[in-house]
Amino acid sequence: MTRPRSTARRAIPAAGLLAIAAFLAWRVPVGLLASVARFVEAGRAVHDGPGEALARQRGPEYAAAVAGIRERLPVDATYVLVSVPGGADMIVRFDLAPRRAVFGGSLRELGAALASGGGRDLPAWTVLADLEPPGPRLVATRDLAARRVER
Amino acid sequence: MNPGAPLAAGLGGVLLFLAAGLGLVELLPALRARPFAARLGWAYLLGVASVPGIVYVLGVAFDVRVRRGVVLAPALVLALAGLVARARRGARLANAPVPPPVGRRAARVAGVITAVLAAGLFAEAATTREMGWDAEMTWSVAARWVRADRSVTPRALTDAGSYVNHPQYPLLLPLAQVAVLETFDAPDDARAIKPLYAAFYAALLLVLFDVARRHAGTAAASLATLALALAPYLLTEKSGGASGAYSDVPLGALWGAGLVLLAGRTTASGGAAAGVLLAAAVLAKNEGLPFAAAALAAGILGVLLDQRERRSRLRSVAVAAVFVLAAAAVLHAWKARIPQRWDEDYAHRLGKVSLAAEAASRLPLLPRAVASETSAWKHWDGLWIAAGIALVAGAKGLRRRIVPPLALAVGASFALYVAALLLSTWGGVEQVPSTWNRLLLQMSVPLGLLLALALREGLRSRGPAFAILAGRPGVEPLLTLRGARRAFPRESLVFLAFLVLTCAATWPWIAHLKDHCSDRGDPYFTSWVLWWDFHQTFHDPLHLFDGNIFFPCKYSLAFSEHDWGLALPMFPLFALGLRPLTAHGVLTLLGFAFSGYGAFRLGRTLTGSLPAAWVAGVFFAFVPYRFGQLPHLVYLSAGWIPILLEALVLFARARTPRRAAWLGVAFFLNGVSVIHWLVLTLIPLALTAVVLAFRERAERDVRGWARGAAAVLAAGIALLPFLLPYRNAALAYGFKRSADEALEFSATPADWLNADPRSHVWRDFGAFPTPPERPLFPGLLLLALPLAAVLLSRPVRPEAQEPAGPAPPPRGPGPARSRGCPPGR
Repeated sequence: MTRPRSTARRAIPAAGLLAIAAFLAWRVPVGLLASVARFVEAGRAVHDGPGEALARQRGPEYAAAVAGIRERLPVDATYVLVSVPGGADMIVRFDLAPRRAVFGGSLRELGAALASGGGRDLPAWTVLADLEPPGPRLVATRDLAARRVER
Repeated sequence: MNPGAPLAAGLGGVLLFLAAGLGLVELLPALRARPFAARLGWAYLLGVASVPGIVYVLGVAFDVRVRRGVVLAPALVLALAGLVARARRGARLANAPVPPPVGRRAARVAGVITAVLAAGLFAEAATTREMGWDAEMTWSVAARWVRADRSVTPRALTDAGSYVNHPQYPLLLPLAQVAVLETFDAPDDARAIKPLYAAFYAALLLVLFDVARRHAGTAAASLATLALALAPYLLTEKSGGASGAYSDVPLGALWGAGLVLLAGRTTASGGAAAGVLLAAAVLAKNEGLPFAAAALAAGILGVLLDQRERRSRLRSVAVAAVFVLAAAAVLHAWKARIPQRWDEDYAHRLGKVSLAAEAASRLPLLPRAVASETSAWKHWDGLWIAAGIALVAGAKGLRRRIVPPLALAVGASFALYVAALLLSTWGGVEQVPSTWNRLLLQMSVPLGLLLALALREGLRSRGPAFAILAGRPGVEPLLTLRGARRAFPRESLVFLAFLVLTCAATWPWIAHLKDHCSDRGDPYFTSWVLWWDFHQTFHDPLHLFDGNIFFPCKYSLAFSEHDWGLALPMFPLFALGLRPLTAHGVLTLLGFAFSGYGAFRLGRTLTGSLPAAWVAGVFFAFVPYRFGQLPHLVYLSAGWIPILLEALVLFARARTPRRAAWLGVAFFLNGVSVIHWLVLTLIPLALTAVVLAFRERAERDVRGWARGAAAVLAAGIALLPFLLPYRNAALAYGFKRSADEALEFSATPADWLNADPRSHVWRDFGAFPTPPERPLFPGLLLLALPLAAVLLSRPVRPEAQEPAGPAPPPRGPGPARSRGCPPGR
């Protein structure tokens, strides 16, 4: 009677090894395959310039829109950044950095504030963040107030 | 701009920190005697800790501007100081101790695999700019502001009107980014700074391997490190893993390295290294300060538990505490200049909310959320499940002095995490999916070390436990009552192991075994065959082949495989009322396991090596194209082929009557199970017998070979009742396979590159040919392992084959003789 118990008890530590071995048996080929895929992908992207790399990540429209805003806004400029659901404003803020953003709230809030005569100390330019085509847009802050008033 | 510039800057940045860190390592006796690869890991962490750390301190204390000279000066000073120290000490270094050879091969294999993974990660990092959400929101945008203003207090952070998330987030990693870009005059390009993060992956693993090797041995360290290296969340996740630019992997490496230094026995120089690393953790991430405090507490616990080296350890903790306190002071001074906004203020919340009320509402939801993330296949592929099993199974190995300090630090960090969830304004458990896995990464060094210690226990028990699994090669013990009784537990455990692997590989079939099958074609037919074998054997065995289908045709069982040998083990279960489809499912799973067990036996007998046997078994059982045969029970059940070959090998080595009998039995069981395998093994078996006869120099042993031939002949005669009905059916109904049919089902060379679509891993690899039996791609490992064997194995030295001392007494022929024989024997 003691022998089977002893056998099982002695085999318990090996169960841990078996579990890790099963994990490795599954993951080693998958991991190596993923590495091969990464090399292949890297080979395709290695000659990309910064604009092409951004276009590869976010799409050509977004890359073109960001490049356009960068040209119009000096590096040390500030701008109003309108927040949008989904957080595209944070991505756009990164791509426009080191230009500094001032929080504008939502487009509705910003327009309302401007229409009521507020926001006089806001930067002249506002960026409407969008990750989808046509990408972020640069508009004159005062135009947002005018649009709101027109409505 | 030169497209290669980001790649050059990324690589150069890694080398910059490495050079500075190697210099620092040379100045620290606790680290400089370690193996070169380990020193690289420590050096990288120390380099990132020291160079940006010094820039940070200079910027906060003296408003020194962040520019190339300020970055290069500390890096060069440290590198030169290390070179000078090494040159002065050069001769003594040559006598550095060489690690023991035990487990070196495992380390080499783990090292090669990890190097491939790290290289892939680095290639991706240097060529793609995707960094993960938080990286763009917090750290990398801060780096751009710092670089533009050349200050650790840029206007974007100090101007309360600027829109900044987490403005008070510590700047060490953004400063490391700036250091790379400034040093190499690179533009603001994510691809130039991502290699900096990818290198943390390698550094973390090197440090883990180094400390685990010291505490748990090389083999256990290799397994634990490789397991962590392959964790999907660490390897591929952009939002937190090494594939992005979050600060979690850096924090995990810096904090983990400092912690394991303090938790083990170390000197004042080890304390200094731990202090630098923990100080860097403080300056790298918000949770770094409390984590560092937990590490210091762990160090103090180590002091209390260590009677023998209490003073030396106390000194090391004190030295580390100085660095941590200095970093905390710098961080406090820096934060004082940054207006807080757009961030969670936990300290403020602490005074506002009732912790007890939050705990009552949030804590009950926490275990489920945490368990769900920890076991999420897409994040971890079962790593923590396997690690949990290993930790429980190897709990005895955790009775080490280093474990209580590690447990304290990890436990305190987990408690801190829970407290943060309770105080969070974002709803508590809703934060778990985006934070828990990152916390596990931050804890990865101590958790990896604990795993290695547990695995060490499993490896230590190789004596008793593995002897059970490995045992002596050969089947001879099974042919005597006493031998069979002894061998049964070990053989059962091996078979059980393959069964467990089968259940995992075919999951979730085992959970639906009762009434599921792979498709509605062959499995239904085969289920009938199995049941008919059982029914007719006990009702009218002389008319076994006159099935109750295709009436009034005779021999209808001979219209396909009769499967009688496969059905035989199911007879008791049929008698108990098992349904035919369930029996078919059971036999399908057993077919995988038995194939693995058979190949395991053959590998064990041929090489005398347990690892080789397991590799052979696993590959033979789970080779990708086997999954394409799920509906074909007969093709899945290939276990008798390797067992028959093993019987032939054993017989060739010693042509005894007992082994001849076993050869005959194996031949019969192979033939009575699957006629395809009987036919297809005849020629290879005959050729193998000829080769073995000459290899064993037994070609002149006519009497011995006649004994074997007689056994096979007897088995062939015993098979006649199962074969003649096929001849009768062919004659009666004119059944004949045409050459075109044979060609249609024969594989072409291209089919070896076509994977079966049922494989999760290889489903899109190659085309799916028709007929669907033909995809034969065997997987990458089956091709890579022989290459690894050629590259990594070393010839066995003659002196290693025999122990020193008097020659052992001569042993008679038998299975024990082949134990430990060189491969191919």
